[in-house]
Amino acid sequence: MDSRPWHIVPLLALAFLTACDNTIDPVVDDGTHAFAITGYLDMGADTQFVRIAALRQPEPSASTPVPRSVVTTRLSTHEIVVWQEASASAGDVSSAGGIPSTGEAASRRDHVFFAPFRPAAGASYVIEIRDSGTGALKGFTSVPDAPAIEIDAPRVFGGDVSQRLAFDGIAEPARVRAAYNLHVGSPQRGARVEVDYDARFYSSAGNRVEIFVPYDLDFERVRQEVMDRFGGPPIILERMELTVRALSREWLSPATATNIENGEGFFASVGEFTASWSIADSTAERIGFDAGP
Amino acid sequence: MRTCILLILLLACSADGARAQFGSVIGRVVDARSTEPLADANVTLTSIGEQRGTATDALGRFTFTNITPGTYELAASHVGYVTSTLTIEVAFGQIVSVDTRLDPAPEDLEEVVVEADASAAESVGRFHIDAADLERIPLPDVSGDLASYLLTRPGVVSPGDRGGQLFIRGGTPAHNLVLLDGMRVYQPFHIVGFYSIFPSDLVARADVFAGGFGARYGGRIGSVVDVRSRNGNKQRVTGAISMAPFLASVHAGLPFVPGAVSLVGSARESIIERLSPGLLGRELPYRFGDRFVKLHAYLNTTSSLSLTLLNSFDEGNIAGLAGRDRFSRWINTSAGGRYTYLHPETAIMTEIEAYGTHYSSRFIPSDDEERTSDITSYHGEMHVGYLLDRLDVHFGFFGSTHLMAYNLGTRDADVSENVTEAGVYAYVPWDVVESLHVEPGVRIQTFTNGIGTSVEPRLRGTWSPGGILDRQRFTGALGIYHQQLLGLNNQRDVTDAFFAWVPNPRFSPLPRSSHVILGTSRALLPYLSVSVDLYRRSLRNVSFALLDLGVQQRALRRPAPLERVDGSARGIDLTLELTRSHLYLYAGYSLSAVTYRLERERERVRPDDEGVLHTSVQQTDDTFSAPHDRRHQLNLVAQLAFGSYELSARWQIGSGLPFTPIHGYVDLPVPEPNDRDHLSGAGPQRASFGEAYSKRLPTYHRLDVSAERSFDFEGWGLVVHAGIVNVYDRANIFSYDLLLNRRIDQFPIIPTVGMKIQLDG
Repeated sequence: MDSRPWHIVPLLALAFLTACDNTIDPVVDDGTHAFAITGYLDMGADTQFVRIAALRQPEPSASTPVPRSVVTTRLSTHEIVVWQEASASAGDVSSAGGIPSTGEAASRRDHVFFAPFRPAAGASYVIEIRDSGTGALKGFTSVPDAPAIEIDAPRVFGGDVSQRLAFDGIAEPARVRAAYNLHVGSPQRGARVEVDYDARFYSSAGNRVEIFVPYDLDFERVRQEVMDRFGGPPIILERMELTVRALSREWLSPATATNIENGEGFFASVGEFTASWSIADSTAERIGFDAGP
Repeated sequence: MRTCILLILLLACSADGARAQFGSVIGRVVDARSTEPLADANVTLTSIGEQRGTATDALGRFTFTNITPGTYELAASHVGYVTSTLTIEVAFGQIVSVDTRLDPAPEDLEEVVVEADASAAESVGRFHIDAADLERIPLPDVSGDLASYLLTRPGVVSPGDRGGQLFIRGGTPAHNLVLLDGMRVYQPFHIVGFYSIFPSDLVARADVFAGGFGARYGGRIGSVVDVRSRNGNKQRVTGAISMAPFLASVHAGLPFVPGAVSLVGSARESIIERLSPGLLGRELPYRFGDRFVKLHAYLNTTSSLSLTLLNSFDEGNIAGLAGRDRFSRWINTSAGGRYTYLHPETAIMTEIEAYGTHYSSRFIPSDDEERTSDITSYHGEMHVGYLLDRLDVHFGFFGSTHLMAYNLGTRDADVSENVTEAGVYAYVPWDVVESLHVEPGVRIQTFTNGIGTSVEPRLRGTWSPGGILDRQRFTGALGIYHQQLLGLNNQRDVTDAFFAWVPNPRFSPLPRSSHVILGTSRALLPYLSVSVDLYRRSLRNVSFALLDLGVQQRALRRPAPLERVDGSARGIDLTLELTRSHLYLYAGYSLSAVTYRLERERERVRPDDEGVLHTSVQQTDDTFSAPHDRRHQLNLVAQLAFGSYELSARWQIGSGLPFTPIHGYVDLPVPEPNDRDHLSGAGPQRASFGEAYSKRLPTYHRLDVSAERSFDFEGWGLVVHAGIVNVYDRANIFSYDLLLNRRIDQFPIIPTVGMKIQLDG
């Protein structure tokens, strides 16, 4: 056995080179996490939009990933929708909250993609974003199920009139909107006045939302808007609608982002559900509307 | 408790019996010039056919009991001093009290004394330091400092040359118990890492237990730095004034009552923040200083009293940024006293100590946020030592209360809490045979927070196969430790030196650590010693402000929530030390690994075969390197003295510390469910983190040198200093600012000159 310590020379050389290296590379370069996404699938819209951005790097990079393929798949039916890019615009660096103000940052590009479809209630979707050579970002979401809707009869207390509706299967509404569908003026024209309700007019417990339609409170606002926009009287109440927008689970704890693989951001869905009903003429008149012909 | 009382009564009865037939010799060994007590001095008692030996304790005291009446020769020796011998007579039932004063030895005698001491230099995770040790490490100053010295020891890691954080054998700064004359000091290290509140002018001795400390100490799960300050010269006035680029200081000692009462005072204040623009062409905006006053009195031949007052302050921007962002400030104020009584007729030593200490810390991470932490602690303790022949029995009672107020940011409300801890301890240093010394002990503590009462067994032992003067020594220690006070520090950011002291959450298990240490040391030559220590610590419920491993969207610059991690620290420490009268060489190498383990539940959303999404909860067990996990560290120190010249050099190299890499930055806004504003504009900047602490910073290395020349004049002296910090201007990284993509480097090359004028007492 060679007892000369020659073998220590390469070790010492390696240690010396290691000690001399003074660079720091703060980036994980495993090819994953190329993109970030923000957006949601909306049952209330015919066209869906998401915004996609490549993760910005601390140092300028010659090869910024570009989302070349954006696809959603409805998981139960394997129905595929290919998204198209709507625009590609330079970001506003000054408003970007402290992004490194290097030349590279100025050339940052975000991408808005759209797809003409309306998601279905209760359906689950996966969105996949790919660039050649990088792992795909995947985002999962389930559109809220259609709720069971209960509509009570209008209740009269003295001069006040209200009505209770319950949406069973919705945890926390994103928006509660009542729509008064009217016939206005003479000759009659169709008119629609919408009133948004804040949390004073609904309560949520568990997976149930109860909403109180305060006709008497709404009436003055409806009347004023009709007078401004459509003229009148008479103002005849034809039909009522109440629309609730329901949030998917991702909205309730956005920080955990457990539904996104190989990337960052936020991806969720919104369900939109509408109840529609008529009100007896006598009740409508009690509220303040005019009697029908 | 009943058992303890019975044990005490039993020991007291046996003492009475012994006193009726035999005599005892008690005493103290002090420096003849300064009257400082000399610890670890060898004391032998010799008669015809009989020789017994012991070593003095931290206060220079020694005891021999069960002495057969007769004539004895008492000899006391210590490194650097001329051995003193005297003849004493011991009669039946008599307690002989002897105070021995040792004169400093001429230089040519030093090696002879060192020979006997070399094998006893260190034992099982403990190293003993005196002022001369501190002077061996080059500093940009005329005086040495404990901080710089500690950084040369294996197993001691600092993230950089600022911030005042020391990690000892895997423990964090919050796990270190630092005592000055028995007073707890929450932040003993200054913002500039060369300096602590312990300059060599003040330090009489320091015992550093890197682990496995005995039952006398508690309340921390890591290590102990127990510093005893100088009592001051009780015969002559002493004083010194010094100035160097970082610091100016004045030190004075006054024999208040000659021979009995001394007063020592010291004040130091940084000047680097004023000199750096002109000296270095750049600003080093670090301001720090300390004031120290100590009154020490020998009340009579058997009792003494010391009163100590300390104040220190630090402020500056550790990240080196201009403006108020990331500005840190902390202030220590401590006051306390210790009364020591050695009974003239029995071999019982009693110490009573009490202190109050306050620590205030502020950190401004951004213009609209300030984090604050204040803690005030009061402590009382009574310690009794029953000094027998081969076996001593020590026990004590203590109680502490801590008042805390803290605010972790503008989004949180101020919180005020207080906790109390109390307990008893006992330990028995016992020379089982001449070659075997053991020190079993136990510490029983109860905490107002946490669960139940903790019982902490401790054991230390030394085996010298050939007897106490054998050149080979084997050591071992083990113990269990708990800690009620948590020092929360944002571990993600080394430029954040802010510690919020908070109590352990109620009804939550306390942080716990168990230590096992095995070591050996050998004097290869009379002046050359080598030592090896293997250690392992297991850690439970250690608080850790951690970036959430399962959440990759947390905004930067927010304090992470409190996490609890388990983990371990293990390693091997090697030292090689050569001590000649004119040459000192030291090499210390440590190989260590500090890993944390975080158990948590992680959610994943995945579809099933029918296309329905399900959320599954998985138990994950993430293991990662602690942010202070420096795997390799080597320190080389050399000091050459010839005539009035002294040259010192220190080179340190350490492997890079781990950090958490990023995938990149994200600033896309989270959408609102009723609009499409998120399709344009920007949200808050976030980093997408990769695997926790999976990359490492570059290797750290630095060479410091200094030269000093002393001039002696009648009654006073002058020391002139010149040195260079970071001789080859290595750009060692201190931290990397992920948000600004900016590296912050440690100090560049800094030439220094300084001088010290001292009134030679």
